[in-house]
Amino acid sequence: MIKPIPLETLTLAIQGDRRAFQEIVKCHQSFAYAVAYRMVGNRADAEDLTQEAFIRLWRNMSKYRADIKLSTWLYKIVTNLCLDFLKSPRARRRKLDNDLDDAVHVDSGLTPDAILHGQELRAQIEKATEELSPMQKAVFVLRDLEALTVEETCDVLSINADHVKSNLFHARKKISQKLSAIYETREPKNL
Amino acid sequence: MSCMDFEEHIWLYDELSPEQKILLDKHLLTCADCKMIWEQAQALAATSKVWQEDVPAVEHEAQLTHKIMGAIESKRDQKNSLLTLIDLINTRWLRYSMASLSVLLVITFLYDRPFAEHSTETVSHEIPEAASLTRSDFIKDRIKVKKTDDHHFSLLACIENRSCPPLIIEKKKYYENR
Repeated sequence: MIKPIPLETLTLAIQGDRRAFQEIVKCHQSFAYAVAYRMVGNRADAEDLTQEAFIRLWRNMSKYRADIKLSTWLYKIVTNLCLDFLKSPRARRRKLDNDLDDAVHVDSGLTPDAILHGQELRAQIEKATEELSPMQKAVFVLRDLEALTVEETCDVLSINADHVKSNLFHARKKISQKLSAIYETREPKNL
Repeated sequence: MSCMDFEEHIWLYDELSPEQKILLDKHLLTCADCKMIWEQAQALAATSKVWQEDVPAVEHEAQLTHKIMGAIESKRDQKNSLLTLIDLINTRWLRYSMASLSVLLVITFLYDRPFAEHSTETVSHEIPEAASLTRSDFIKDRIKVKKTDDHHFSLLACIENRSCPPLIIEKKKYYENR
C-alpha cells in the first residue's frame, strides 16, 4: 500500500524543493522497484530503471497536476521505461542471465523455506512470462500482479480497454500453457 | 457463440458483465473442453494471487534513495551551466534575427552576378545614337571578355580588391568613349 503524500510536501516538491522530493522518493521507491522488477526480472536493472523513473519525475515535477494521482503518473513512467528496456538489445542479452539468487525478500518474518519458496515463485513468474511480448507482460503485471483496474491499466499504458483485454487474454493463456509445461517437466521435490 | 468465443471469455472472466458470466456458466455445464480450460484459468488466477502477495523488495532502501538523490543532484549541476547559456539566447526576436542574418550571409556569398552585364545596360543608355551600330560587336566583345577570368567581375573580389572601384570607373569611361 502506498503511503499518501501530504499536500504540503507535494506542493514543495513541485516548487523544486529537493527535501520534499526525497520524501516522495522514500514513499514510492518500493512500489516503483516492485513494478520494475516484475517487468524486467533483474535486481540491478530494476534499480537502474527505478532511479531513471525518479529522475524523470523530478524533471517533470513542475508539470504535475493535482487531478491525477502521483502513483498513476509514476506507474506510467516506470512502465514506459521498462517497455523501452524490454525492447532493447541489452534486455535480450540479460534474458540468458538469471540472478534470482539476489532477489531476497526483506521481510524478516519469513523462514528459510518461505524465502526459498518466494525465490521459486519469482523464478516461476520469470520463466512463465519470458515468452510474452513487452506489452502483454506489462498488461499482466499491472492487472494481475499490481491489481490495477482495467481503466487504470488503460491510463498507464495509454491504450484502450479492448487492447488491454486482448493483451491480457493472450498473456494469461500463454502463461498457463508455460506453467503446465514447467510442471510437467519438473521432478517432484522432497520438501 | 462458439467455443472459441467462450474461450476468450473464460480467460477474461473477471472482465465480463453479469449477463456474459451467466451465459458462460451455462455453457460450462455442457462443454467438457471449455470446462478444462476454465479449470486452467482458475488455477492461474489462484497462482497470480500468490504472486501478487510476493512483492519484490528493495535490498537496501536507504542506499537506493541516496543513489536516486545523488543522480538528481549531478544532473542538476550539469543542467545549470548549460541552462544559463541557453536562457541568454533563447528569445524569439534573437532567433528570428539570427535566421535572417544567416540567410543574408548565404545570399551575399553565393551571389556572383557579373558586373559587366549591368554596366553593359548602363552604358548602352548613355551611348549616343550614332554608336548603337556597334552594339552587337560590343556584346560579342563582352561575351569574349566574360569568358576570361581576368575580366570576370565578382562583388566579393571587388570588395577585397581596393583597386577595384577605380578599375570600374576606368572601364565605364572606356565604353562611354567608344
